[in-house]
Amino acid sequence: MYFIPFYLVAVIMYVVRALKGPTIPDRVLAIDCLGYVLATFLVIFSVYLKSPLIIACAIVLALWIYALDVYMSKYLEKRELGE
Amino acid sequence: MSQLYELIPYIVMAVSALASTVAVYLAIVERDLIKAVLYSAIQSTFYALLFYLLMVPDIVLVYVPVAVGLLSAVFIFAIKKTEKYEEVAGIPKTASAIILVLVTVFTLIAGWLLIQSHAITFEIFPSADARALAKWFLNTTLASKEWWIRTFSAMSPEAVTAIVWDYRGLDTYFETSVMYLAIIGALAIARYFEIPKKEYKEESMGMSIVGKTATKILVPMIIVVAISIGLHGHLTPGGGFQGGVTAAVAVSLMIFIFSVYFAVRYFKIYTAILLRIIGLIGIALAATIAILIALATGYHGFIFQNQPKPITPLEVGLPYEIGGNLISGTLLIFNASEFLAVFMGFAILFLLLSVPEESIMEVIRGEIE
Amino acid sequence: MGLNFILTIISYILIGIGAFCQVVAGIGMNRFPNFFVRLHAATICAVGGSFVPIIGCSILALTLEEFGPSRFFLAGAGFVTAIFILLLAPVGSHLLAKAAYFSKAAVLHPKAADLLEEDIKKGEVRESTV
Repeated sequence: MYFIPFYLVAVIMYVVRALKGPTIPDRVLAIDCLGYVLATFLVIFSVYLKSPLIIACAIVLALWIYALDVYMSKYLEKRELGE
Repeated sequence: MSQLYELIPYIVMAVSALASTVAVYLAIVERDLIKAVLYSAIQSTFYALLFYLLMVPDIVLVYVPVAVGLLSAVFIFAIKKTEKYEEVAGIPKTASAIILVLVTVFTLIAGWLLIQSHAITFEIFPSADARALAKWFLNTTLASKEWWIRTFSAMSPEAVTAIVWDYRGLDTYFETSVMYLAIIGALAIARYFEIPKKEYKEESMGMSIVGKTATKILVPMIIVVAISIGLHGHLTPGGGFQGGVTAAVAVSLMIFIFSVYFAVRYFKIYTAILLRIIGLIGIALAATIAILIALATGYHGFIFQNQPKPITPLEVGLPYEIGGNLISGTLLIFNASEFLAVFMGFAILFLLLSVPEESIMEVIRGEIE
Repeated sequence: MGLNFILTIISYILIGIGAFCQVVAGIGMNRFPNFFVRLHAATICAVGGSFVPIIGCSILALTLEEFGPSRFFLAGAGFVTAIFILLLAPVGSHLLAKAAYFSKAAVLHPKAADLLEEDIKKGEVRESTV
């Protein structure tokens, strides 16, 4: 696999935006993209390290990063959580 | 060049450990609490990558839902109901810079020492110099048909689930009872809270129509994936607890995207409590099933016994395969009951947290006066 | 050349497209001036940089016969992850953008045109979502 260093460079760039972003939705978007890059990285690594049973972690990571998106946007938008 | 490619997993582990330490430090000294929650989420995703590279997928499946999802949800509820900024004087800047440099240096030295001691390997088959305890576990949990291994064996190729539910079953019993007591405590504090019966208006409650349509498609898919992770615990990484927290995404999405007044029409708190009790009865039954069979037929049995033990006059135990498929005795019943119990436990938690603030204030005012 | 060779070439091309799109999205997230313009970079990350390489990885896993029968498990879980990311990422960006606009957490500063504000003034769209 010759493409793994490119994903690592992208991870570092998303972390820079997450620490630098002036507003809260900026940081949430950067963490969103960071989660999706890590999910891709986990799938590629499970083929590279030759252990195929380890891949269920990528599904769970993608689902919960989306749930974090939903929690933050509900916090910003409504006066009462749960309405 | 291929020498460099051998080092890539170690470099990724070092970078993610360093990044998570920096993120934790920033989360502690930050005074705007929402940003602190987001830094904590960054730290959790890097920890998930670190656990993944150390080849423990069961722990990643527990850590990601609890740290990224549920911790953030509970903190966002707390911040919404109380305050958003902390009014505490922070640590002075020079002291915090010195602490950060010391922690970074310690992390680098510890990482170099770990690599030198060959404690981390990346092969899936154990190397020749594994410890004696590891060799004993690996030789006896894998399915084998010789009689002297079946005295010790749990007959499942997944060693982590076999150790959690069969070899160290009493530890898991006490952990389950601790979580049960925590939920009883929460329900006792909230004994008069009720979600008021408001009319569910389609266009003004809940989030936008794009979110509602996507959730209608996704919730059945998420529950199917969660059941698959839960029931296959004796064959692939997963198990009851991991499947239960994956299914808790579906409940939290239903409550946040559609409003709680819509979710309460189909799913009340008493239903969730009843299903959780059924799950816990399932766990208690699977733990003592060998004794019940032994009392009924008049022979010996033990608690948490999985396979027949040849010490007794007639062997009493559960089968390890049905029609050629491996079910590993009590492990299947444990996984299914634990899935139900954990799923309903988190449903109770989300339903209790989303009671609107006015009805909580009425209850508290009614108890004081 | 057998079928395995063609599938391996296709999967390497797809993973290469994914790596390129991720680097472009990373540069875009740092250089764009505004939250609403960064949503374009996030879309490139999610679809070009996650959906396409995971499909490529699943196809690559089908060709490696040294895994035995667990390669079908890997390919199936990979396809499920790809479908989840394809369905979830746009919905998440939409909810975040709507919340950021109506709660004024992110302002449109180097502004060329704001048609939604004109619709609010005309009365066709409700002003806030409480």
